[in-house]
Amino acid sequence: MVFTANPILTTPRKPIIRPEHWLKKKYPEKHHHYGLEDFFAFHTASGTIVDWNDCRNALASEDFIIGLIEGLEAEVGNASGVVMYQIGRQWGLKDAAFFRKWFMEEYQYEKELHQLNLAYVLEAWWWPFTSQGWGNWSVDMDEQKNGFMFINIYDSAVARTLGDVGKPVCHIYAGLMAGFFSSLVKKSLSCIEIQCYSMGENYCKFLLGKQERIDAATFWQNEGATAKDIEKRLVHGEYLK
Amino acid sequence: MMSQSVLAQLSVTEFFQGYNWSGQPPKLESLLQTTAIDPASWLTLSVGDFLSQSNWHGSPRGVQPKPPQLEKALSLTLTVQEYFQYPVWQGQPHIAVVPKDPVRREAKTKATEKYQVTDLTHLF
Repeated sequence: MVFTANPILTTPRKPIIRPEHWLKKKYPEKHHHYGLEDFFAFHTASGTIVDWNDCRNALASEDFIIGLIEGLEAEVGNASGVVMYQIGRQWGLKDAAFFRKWFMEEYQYEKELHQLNLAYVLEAWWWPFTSQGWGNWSVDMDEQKNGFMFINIYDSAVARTLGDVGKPVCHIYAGLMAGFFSSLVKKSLSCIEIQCYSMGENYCKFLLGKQERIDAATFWQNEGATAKDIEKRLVHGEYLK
Repeated sequence: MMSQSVLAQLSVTEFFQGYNWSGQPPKLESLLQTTAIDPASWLTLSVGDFLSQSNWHGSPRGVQPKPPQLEKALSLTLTVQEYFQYPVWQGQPHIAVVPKDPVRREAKTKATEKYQVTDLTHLF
C-alpha cells in the first residue's frame, strides 16, 4: 500500500484577512470615538462591520431575535430561559476578558484595572453595548451593604422585540451580567431579572448577588412576588428556609 | 434682541449675567411714560438722527440706549487705538453665575462613583 499526500490537505489555506478599523489605524490615540461613524467601520465591499475595539459586529433583525427565542422554546421548552442564561453567562465571562484587553490597551493605565474608579470602568464596559443596540443602563448600588445590587436596562433589545408577554424574557442579559461581574470581582455571582419591560414595566431590572440570594429571589418570583416585594425581603435579610 | 452697539459695550460676564436664562417675560415700562417727540421737530433732525429715533429692534423704550452717543463710540472713524480700547478686555471670570439656592441640598452621589473596582469584590 502506498500512501500519497492528500491534495486537499496540502492545499495552503488562504490567510484570513481581518477587517481593519481605518479610523483607528489612522488615529490610534483618538479616544473620543463615540460617533456612529467613528466607533464602527462599515466595510461595505466585504459586508463586515468592525468596531473600534476590533470586535466583529453583525446586524440582526427583530425577526432573528424572535426566531431565536421561539426556536429555542420549541426545542427545549421551559428550559429555554436557562439555556439563554447560560449562553449569556459564557458570553459575559469571555467579554470580561475581552474588555480587560481592549480597555488597558486603549487607555494605557499604569494602574491595574481593579485600582480604577468603579463607575468609570463600568461605563467603559457598557457603552459599546449601548452603541450596538443592547440598551442603556444604570447601576444601583444603594443596597451594596446588603450584598446585592440592581442593574437597570432601558430599552432591552429582547424585551422590546417580544413585547408584552407577561413574564421576564431578558435571560441572556441576566447571564451576561452574572458572567461579567463574576469575572470582575473573581467570585461566582448570579443574576435574575425581577422586572421586565415584557411584563408591562417601563424598564428591566436585574438583581445581582450570590447564589443563595438569587435562589431566594427566584423562589419568591415564582410565588408571584413583584420586584418591590423581592427588594423588601432582601433588605430585611430574608433567605430561603 | 440687543443691538450690536449694546452688545459691544458689555463684557462677556455682563452679557451672560444679564441674559434671561429662566425665560421670564420682561417687565415692560409703560409706553405712556416715554416722552413724545413733536413731529414738527423731526424736520430739524438730520437723516441719521431721525432714523436713529425709531425703535428698530422692538426693545422696550425704557431700556433703549441712546443711539447717537453709541454710534459715536463705535464709529469707524476712531483710530485703531481708540477702537480697541473700547471693549472690556479683562472681564471677571464669573460667567452665568447661578445664584446659590439656600434650600437646595447636595445632590446624592451615586454610590458607584466613590468606589474602585476592587471595592466591588468586598460587597459580595
